[in-house]
Amino acid sequence: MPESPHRPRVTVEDLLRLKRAERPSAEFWVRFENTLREKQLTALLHRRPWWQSAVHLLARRRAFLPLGATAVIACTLVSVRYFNPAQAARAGNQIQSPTVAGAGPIAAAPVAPAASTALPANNTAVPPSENLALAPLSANLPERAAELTPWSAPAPADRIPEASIAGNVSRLDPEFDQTGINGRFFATTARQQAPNVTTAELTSVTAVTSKRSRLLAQFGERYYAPEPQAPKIVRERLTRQLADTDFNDRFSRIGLKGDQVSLKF
Amino acid sequence: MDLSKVFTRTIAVSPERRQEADADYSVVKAVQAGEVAAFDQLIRKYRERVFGVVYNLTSNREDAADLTQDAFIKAFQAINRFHGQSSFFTWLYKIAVNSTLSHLRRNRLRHFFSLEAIQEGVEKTQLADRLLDSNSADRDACLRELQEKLNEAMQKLSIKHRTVITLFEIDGLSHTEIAQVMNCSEGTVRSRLHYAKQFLQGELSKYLH
Repeated sequence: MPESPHRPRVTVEDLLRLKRAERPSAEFWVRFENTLREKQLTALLHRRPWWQSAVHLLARRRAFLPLGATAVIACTLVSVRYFNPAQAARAGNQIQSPTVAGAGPIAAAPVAPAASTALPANNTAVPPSENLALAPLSANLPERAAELTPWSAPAPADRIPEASIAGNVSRLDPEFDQTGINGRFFATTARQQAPNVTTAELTSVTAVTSKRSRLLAQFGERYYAPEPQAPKIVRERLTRQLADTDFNDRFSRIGLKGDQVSLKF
Repeated sequence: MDLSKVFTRTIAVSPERRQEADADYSVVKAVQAGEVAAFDQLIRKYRERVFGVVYNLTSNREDAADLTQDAFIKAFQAINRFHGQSSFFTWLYKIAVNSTLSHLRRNRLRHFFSLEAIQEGVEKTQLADRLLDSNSADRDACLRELQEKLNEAMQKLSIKHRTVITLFEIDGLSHTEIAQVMNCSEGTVRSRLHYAKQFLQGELSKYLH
């Protein structure tokens, strides 16, 4: 650019002022106004989504932010404090079987006492927590045994205790008592009753299904209410068992299948 | 609102601007009351100034037109949230500048100019006389070249510096008004302005004497 000694000084401000002269023509404004009108009408018809209003509201009310954050933290702390995994698991089970859960309270009431009547007082197989739970009920069991007995189970008086079986056997065959087989037999019977202890545990923990309760009651009956001819049969079987040399084999012959107990001879 | 900011704005705004702001607010109240057509007054009043700001920031005529329209639409949609805490003009500028800055950030890599022709007027003539020989045959070509160089130099500035120098030198806003539009302090505005001028001087040294 040619320099001239008489030319006035040009500054950045002067150059920038030139940009003010960059203006659109009149036609441009006509088009601009038409387009703007269309956009304005579209904006009038278009409804804004609800969340945009919510965002604006939250942006304006800045006090809501710490308040909301505090509420969220408080809710989290409370839920963590009162969260019980055992309850959650139980709730999950109830959700999985809603029909069973509905029948639970009705079925649980008669069966649990029946199971506790079947258990001996010094039964150590039951966990302490279960014992604690059963303690108030079993305390006055003798008085309430008749009214608590389920419909399917016979009364305690009708049941034949193990001692009476042993007594009958001893009366019929004194040699049987002398050989010491009597003790071994009842030791075996005690082992056979081990599953019964487990079932008692189950019933005392949660007897939620009526079906399970019925089956358990029947299961209990099979042990505690043998047929009247049982001593003879037992005697015959025991005589046969005397020939067995393999002691362990006897245990393998006891089978527990579902709600049935089978003895193989 | 911060009391110091209110005080600063009160002493900084001239009486003409205050009258203008009051007049605008009465129109805004009419729009808020449901008189939608009243908004056209505000559009006609400010469209060229808003377009000028956006155009100088983008150096693209089509983008500037779209962004100006969007700014008016946004202002129309949000008119119920305007409570006269600042002048309508400042509020509208804020919307336009923010939309433009978002647009520039989105299209950071896309640069192509679409410039308006320099209108014949006093400023153009005076500047041409000072810059060029009056008897020069290619005067218009030289002015066109100068315009392009100026836009190139402007585009080399950061968005914030470009905004400050556009609002101050081209649109004639005060430091306080720019600070309100850009949500920053006056000191920041002055600092950015100083830096931007120095940068442009370096870039356009060929035309400065």
